[in-house]
Amino acid sequence: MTIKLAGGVPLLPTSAKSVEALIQKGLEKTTKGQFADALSHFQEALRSISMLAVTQQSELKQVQSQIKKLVEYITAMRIEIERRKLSAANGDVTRICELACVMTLCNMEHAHKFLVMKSAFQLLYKNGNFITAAHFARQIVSLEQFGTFEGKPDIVPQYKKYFQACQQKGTNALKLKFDPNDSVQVSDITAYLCAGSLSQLEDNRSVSTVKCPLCGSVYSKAGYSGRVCETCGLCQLGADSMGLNIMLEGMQQ
Amino acid sequence: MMDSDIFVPPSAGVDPLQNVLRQNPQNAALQAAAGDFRKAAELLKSQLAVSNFAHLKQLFVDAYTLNKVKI
Repeated sequence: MTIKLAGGVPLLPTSAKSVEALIQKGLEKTTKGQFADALSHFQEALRSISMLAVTQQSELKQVQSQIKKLVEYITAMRIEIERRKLSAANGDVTRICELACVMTLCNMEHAHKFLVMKSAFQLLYKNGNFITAAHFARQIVSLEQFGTFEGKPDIVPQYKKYFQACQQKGTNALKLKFDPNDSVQVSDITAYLCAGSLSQLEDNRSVSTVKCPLCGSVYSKAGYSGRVCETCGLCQLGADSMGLNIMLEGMQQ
Repeated sequence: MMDSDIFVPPSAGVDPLQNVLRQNPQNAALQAAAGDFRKAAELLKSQLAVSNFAHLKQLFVDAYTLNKVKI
């Protein structure tokens, strides 16, 4: 009996499809707010990419975009877990607010972006940072154009009201290391944040940063060269490498 | 008497994995599937500078065992 091989590739446990399935699992957990579970699904997906074999250019492109998406989500999950740890330990309120702000910059799906902005808004309002809170209220309203609030007609008017309330107060109690303009200018968290310390990179030129060879997470060179990437947990940072070879040659199509 | 009563077994076919592997010796997943974990680990080390293989152990074993499955 002959075994039909998928596109001439021998049976392998990982494929672009299995990676996608893990991503979907992770996204579901994110929606439910189970961030630790989501993080382990995303990391599993990212690691399995290192053991992949593809035959077509289109699959290779798909895998590359999967890596990008995974890095954004993994960083978001790590920020959220770090923030919860700090707030459970009654840590530095400024840092907690900064983490909440920075998390809104992760390139996630609009539904998740809304949840993150909502929690950042609530936190900032509670801590008296009304100017930054107003910024996020406006950002939430601007998500309307993507159809994020279908079936929830009361959200937009509600946040318009919050925006006006914040505008009337018009003060910031805490000095945050977060520039509201970044919400427009920064589309990906990679290269904005050091993936190790989860704080903003002072200088994101390639001279002073190191990049993970698998996932492309960016770290500051001074503190993280030689350590293991915290996004994928596999690669040594700053070591010379040739890049992953997952494209198979000589496959009959 | 005809020689048809002597059973001649058919010659073994080409193992598809070995076939692909010969053309793609640089793919870590194929090396692990063929059971050469050492070579797979070396490839990952040179391609991605992987230094922590603990997370990949299960993936290596899965790749190897899946290729031993007979259908």
